[in-house]
Amino acid sequence: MRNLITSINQIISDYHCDAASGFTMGEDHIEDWINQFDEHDRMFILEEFLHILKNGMYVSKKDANLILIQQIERLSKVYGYTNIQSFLKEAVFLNLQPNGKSQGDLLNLFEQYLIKNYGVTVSECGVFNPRHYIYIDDIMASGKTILKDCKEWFNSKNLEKCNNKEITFNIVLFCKHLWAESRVRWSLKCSFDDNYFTSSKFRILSRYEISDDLNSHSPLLNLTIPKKLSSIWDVYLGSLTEADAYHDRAYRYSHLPKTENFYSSPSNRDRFEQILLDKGIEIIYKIEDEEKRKNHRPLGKTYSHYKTFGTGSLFFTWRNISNTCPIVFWWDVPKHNWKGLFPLINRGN
Amino acid sequence: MNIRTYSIDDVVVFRKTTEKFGGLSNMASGFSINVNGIIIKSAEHLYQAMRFPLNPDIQNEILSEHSPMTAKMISRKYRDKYTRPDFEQNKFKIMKWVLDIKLSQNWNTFGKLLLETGNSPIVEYSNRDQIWGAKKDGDNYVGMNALGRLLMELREENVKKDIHNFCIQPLDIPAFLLYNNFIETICDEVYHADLEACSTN
Repeated sequence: MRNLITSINQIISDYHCDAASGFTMGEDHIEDWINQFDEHDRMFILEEFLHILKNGMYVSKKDANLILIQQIERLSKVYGYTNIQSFLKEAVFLNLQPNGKSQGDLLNLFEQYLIKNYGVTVSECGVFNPRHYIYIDDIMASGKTILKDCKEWFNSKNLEKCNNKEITFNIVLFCKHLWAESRVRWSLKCSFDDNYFTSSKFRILSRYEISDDLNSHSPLLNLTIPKKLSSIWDVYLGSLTEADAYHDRAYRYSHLPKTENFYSSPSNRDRFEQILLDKGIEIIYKIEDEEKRKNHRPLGKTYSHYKTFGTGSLFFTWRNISNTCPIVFWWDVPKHNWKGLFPLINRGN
Repeated sequence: MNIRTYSIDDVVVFRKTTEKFGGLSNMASGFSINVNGIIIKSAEHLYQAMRFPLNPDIQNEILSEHSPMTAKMISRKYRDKYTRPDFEQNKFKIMKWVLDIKLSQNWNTFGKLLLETGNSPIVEYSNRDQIWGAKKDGDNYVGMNALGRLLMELREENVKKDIHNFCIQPLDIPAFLLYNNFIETICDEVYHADLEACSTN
């Protein structure tokens, strides 16, 4: 078990290295986390978790810098610029999220690269001839933050400007859920009654894609979405009395994925998902306040009107964990006797 | 459907998507469609994909293509071997269903364009296809003009009467599938409701 813990620690060791909390990821912390699971599951969880991490589901700070640079270079090529300097002269980096959220941190990180290589700051880009607006973030999971920010930005006459002047809007991410992408695009289309959001002028670029739309073509399902193995899970779903949407997406269709390319085997997928869901439900039931309980899901936050087990993201960055990941990874309430592997900042319980 | 003749002077005609009434063409972009949560770039993409309900890989090849014309060409590649056996007898029904969704989900743009055609006959001008369109013959357009007639039906039955159908029923034909999933009633209002819920969360 120690070898597995060491290997996992080598991948996630820079988690919260910049955070003021003083937290340091280490082997002891990982051991404490795994010891909260049933003894006979521990080795299995570590093995499977390591397998997942090796698929590139953790973005270190060093990776992050590289990904941002690659994505901006990719955009520059997509729009036919011969060099990145010319693109930067026409690119505006938006800073729409409140302080302390991921966008500001990522812009700061990217700015260091810009200053070092091109001698410009983020705010100096695109000042005279803005043609490409760029919104950077770490993950689009439920899509709620991006949807809200886009709605506000496009509401203030920016859509008219974009349509009239052939201006592009580009969301640059480390990871996106494909189901969220289509819902965000369609919600914006409906909200503004405009096909700009389903056109190639509105791009959502991501280094990693979570293929989670059950209705799409052969989804990989590289996340946590259990197939129906226990009737107790129905009892939990039944307790979500105010949730009425997407109940048909609570469970993975039994024939999916067509080929298992994410977990180490189909049976290991079933077992890993089952453990995370069972443990998550156990934690959820410890929340005494009913209002708070209904806002959480065992497999990570989603919209409260979704009758599902949660978003199920399995993607992590050095900066913070998304609360759309299964709660066994981040729940940290002493009286609930559970301490997540990745402590969370900027989140309330 | 029978062959019809339209006087050139009386009709609203479209041939290219860039023309004033080009949006009436199935090839026109800017009228996205959502079926089972899958965003589809044009009516042509959807119509072509519905030829191959038992071949999700072909559907995906068609729907992943950016250009409607290329999507049609991909469809042509598989047409002889994989088209659903009852396609010929159902193709007008399928096209009507596609146009119903296009209108439902693009009411203010597509509907407005249909309204602007007034009371004129609508004709898709095509020298190659006298089933969906009509060709020039002296001072007339001659052909079955099936697309134009379906568009006129929509204009008369929905747009002029201001009947915006938010929900479009599936066709009662076997294997009405997209990516192996049955296509049920498609309600654009569901997406609106979803959006509302999002904004209050």
